[in-house]
Order: sequence, then C-alpha cells, then structure tokens
Amino acid sequence: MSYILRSAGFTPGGSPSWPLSQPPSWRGFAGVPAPGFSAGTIWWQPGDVLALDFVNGRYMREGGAASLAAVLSASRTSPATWFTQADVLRTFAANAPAITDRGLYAGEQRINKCRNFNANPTDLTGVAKAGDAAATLTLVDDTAELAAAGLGEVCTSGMAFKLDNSAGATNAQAYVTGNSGNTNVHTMSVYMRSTGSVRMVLSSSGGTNWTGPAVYTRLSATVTPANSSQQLVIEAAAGKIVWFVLNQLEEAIFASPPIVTEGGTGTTRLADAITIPDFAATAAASGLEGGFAGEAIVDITRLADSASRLLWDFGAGISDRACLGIAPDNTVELSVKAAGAGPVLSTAALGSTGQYTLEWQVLSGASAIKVNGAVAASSSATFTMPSLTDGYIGQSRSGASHLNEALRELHLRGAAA
Amino acid sequence: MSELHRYTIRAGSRAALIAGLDAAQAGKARPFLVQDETGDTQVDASRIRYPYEEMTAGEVDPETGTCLTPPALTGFWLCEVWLEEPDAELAALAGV
Repeated sequence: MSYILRSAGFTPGGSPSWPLSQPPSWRGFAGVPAPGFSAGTIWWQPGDVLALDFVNGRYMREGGAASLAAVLSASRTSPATWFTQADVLRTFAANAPAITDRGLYAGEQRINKCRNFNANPTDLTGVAKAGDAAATLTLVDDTAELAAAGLGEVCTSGMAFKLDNSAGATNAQAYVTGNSGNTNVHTMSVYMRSTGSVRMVLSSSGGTNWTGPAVYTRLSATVTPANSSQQLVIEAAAGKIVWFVLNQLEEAIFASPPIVTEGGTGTTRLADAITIPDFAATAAASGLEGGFAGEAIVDITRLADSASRLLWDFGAGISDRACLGIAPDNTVELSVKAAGAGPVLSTAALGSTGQYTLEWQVLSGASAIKVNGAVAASSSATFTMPSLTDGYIGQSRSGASHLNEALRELHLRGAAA
Repeated sequence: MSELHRYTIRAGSRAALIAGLDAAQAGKARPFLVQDETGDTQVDASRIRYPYEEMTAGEVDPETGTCLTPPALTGFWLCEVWLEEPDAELAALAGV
C-alpha cells in the first residue's frame, strides 16, 4: 500500500485538505473522518505511529491498517499455549506469537519437569500408582469434560488419567516421573476433577489443600522441595476418584501456561522473542529519536515478582536504550540510557493486581509516567536519547525480564514538547 | 509449520557448552549467544534451552513413593537447540 493511497487527507497537489489549525482526522484525532474512512475505521489514539490492539486483533503502522506480520515479528522455536478471556486453552505453533482476546503473552523460558505425556496420553508412561492396593490407575476417555473446561484444542484425543480410589480404605496416589532436581522453589499445576477430597503435592514438600473440584479446574501450588528427588503427586482420599491432565512441575514462583510434555527429560517451552520489524525506519520517519510517548494496557496478575517485567525495550544495546517495566518492588520503572548514562524514573508501588493503563513520555527535560490516567512520576532531567535501532516487546533485548502477563494494547507516538 | 531441527549438545561444563555455541555461531546472521544486563553470556532463550546439569533419573519405590536412589549429577552439562534450518556446526557438536 502506498502512503498516498492510505493518506486520504491529502489532495492530489499534496496540500493537506484539513485546516492547518486542526489535526488530521485520519490520524485518529477527533473530528469527521477523512474521505474514504468511516468513523469506525479509526480506533487508534491521536498521533499514534504504531498501535497494536492484541485483544481485538487490529494493528496500525504509520497511519494505515497493517497486518500482524507488518507490526510484529516473533521467534520461539517451540510450541506454546495461552488462554482466551473465557479460559479456553489455545495452542500456538513454533514462532507463532501467543495472542488471544486476552492479549499477547510474551513468556519466559520454562521447563515442565514431568516426564509423562500429560496431554493425549496413550499409555501410563511416567505415571505410577501408590498407596491403597484397591485403587486403580487407568486412562479414560473424558472428551466431554475436557471440552467443557476449554481444553479441547490441547487434549484432542480426549484421554485423561483416572485414579480411582472408590474401593480404597486409605489414600491412593499417582506419582508422576520427574524429579525437582534441586531444592529451589518450584510451582506445580494440574487440571483435575474429582468426586471429592483430592490434592496435589510435591512428595513430602506440601502442595494444595484437600479439595474436590467437580469439573476440570486448574490448581497450582508453589513449594520448596525438601530434597532434589521430589515428584508431583496426585492424591485421592479413600472412596474418591480423580481425573487429571496437563500436570506441570516448573522451577518458578508461579505457574506458566500449560506445557504439553513429550516424556523424555522434561519439556521446554522456549522464550518468546518479539520485536517490531523495521523499527529503526519507523522511529526515524516519525521522529521518535527526538522523544516518544505512548501507552500500554496490561493485566497485572501478580505482585512482587522476583524479576522485572518489561513492556518494551527500544534502543541499540544494553547501554543504549529506553525501557519500561514493572520492577520486583511493584513500581513502574522507566529507564533511559545513552552510552550507559541516563535517568531512571519510578512510580510508587502498584498496590493491587488488575488491569492497568500505563502511559509514558521519554523526552529530555520532560519525562513522565502515568498510571491509569494520573501522573505517577515525572522528571525534568535532561539526557541524550538512545538510538532507536530496534524494538522489543514484552522482554529485554537480551531475552530476559519477560512480561509473563497479558499485554492488551500498545501505542507509540512522538513526544509532545 | 516447517519441521524443526533439534540438537542436543553435551559438554563437561557450562563454559564448554558456551564455547561450543560461540564457535558454531561464527559467520551466522543470528547468534546463538547474547549478553545479558550484567555482561554475562547467555544462550538465545527463544531457540536454546538454558544449559543444565545432566542428572541420573533416580529410583522411586512405586508402592510407597519413597525415593530409593536419589538423582545424581553425572558431571556433564546439556543444552538443546531448536532451529528451523539444519546447522552443520551444531550437528557436529551434537555428534549427529
């Protein structure tokens, strides 16, 4: 698409067809849309040069609607899963960004240490029964229940593990092969349904409380392994039955979206590397290197993560970049560096989880962060702008500090002096 | 989706793994290694599983769940590389 074709506000002679005292409506400013644009065409914010609405699957670059591939490049040579707003679990092929109506999930690398086949099992490889001798461990067709829980796209065969302790007089367990391997904090998770008291534990290290979900429900627990031999265990009280799939054991402080295991020595969900293609060209054409602003809408589901969660990282290198993220102390942090030097701007700590609109302005002498429309931090410090060579979304340029949350929207525009 | 090429690299230490990847990335458009914020060298986490210590499987009593033989370190380090295109240098490192 040529620039002229999508710039309906220009006359053939090249002069703007709107009064010079007013901003052009085709760029999203208030007013009557330019010829060729309906009112519904313009969904981005005034002045945006890049607008990514992951929730609604619509994208804009330099004033024109764009395909996802034109605004975002993704690398992750493993499959991944991610949830929809309705908690339906979707699968994504290698190098396909995990985007649903919940937003974009830019995830860090995770290993599911379980060595069974946790979805679509064809046998009991990696799962062993223990406890009451009257209990049975089998595979059963549970298609309807799995589909009702939104797992139909992942659990395509409909098969699930069933630990039936209905005839037991004492507890029974299903041990999943795969050790913690160390005593660092781990999080285990599983989808299970039951007829009564069941739980998930990490051998002798604790786990969930006794519970009894009647429909498939994802449970998780974060524990410290007592030793390196600890395994994920599904336990059913005497007289109870439990069905389960997608068991997961990760060395982490929270559960990531389910990782479908392949037996072996644990299964890797590689990290997302998400970039804006030709970012330097857009930055140069739009004057972003003189200062830029924007906003993001993000769902914060955890506080006090152990690592920073970056929304974006724009620059040319570790010592020459601007980045915005949520620090481990829950402050929103804007860092600007050129040749290793520059200011860091921090808000007060976010007090709760939930959906946040974060706005920023990176401009020497007038930088700011807004949280939900209110100025949360500002600075008149002067600095040299970094070179905006490349743009990373949801992680740092070194492949760390992943957001691991739903990024709903991202807008980028030039700064207003 | 094109078929991915997987290479499992085994070495006597993490440093040896990194050195192998460093040599294998020479002349390639996209490096296997990146520098993190602290200046340390890390693998490209979107294509390579972080290096980890190889361990034996250990043994558990299937009746009680009790650990009979705990997993033990073998002294080797592993990492796995997933690529869209075959890579002769990694194939040589992996011994395939």
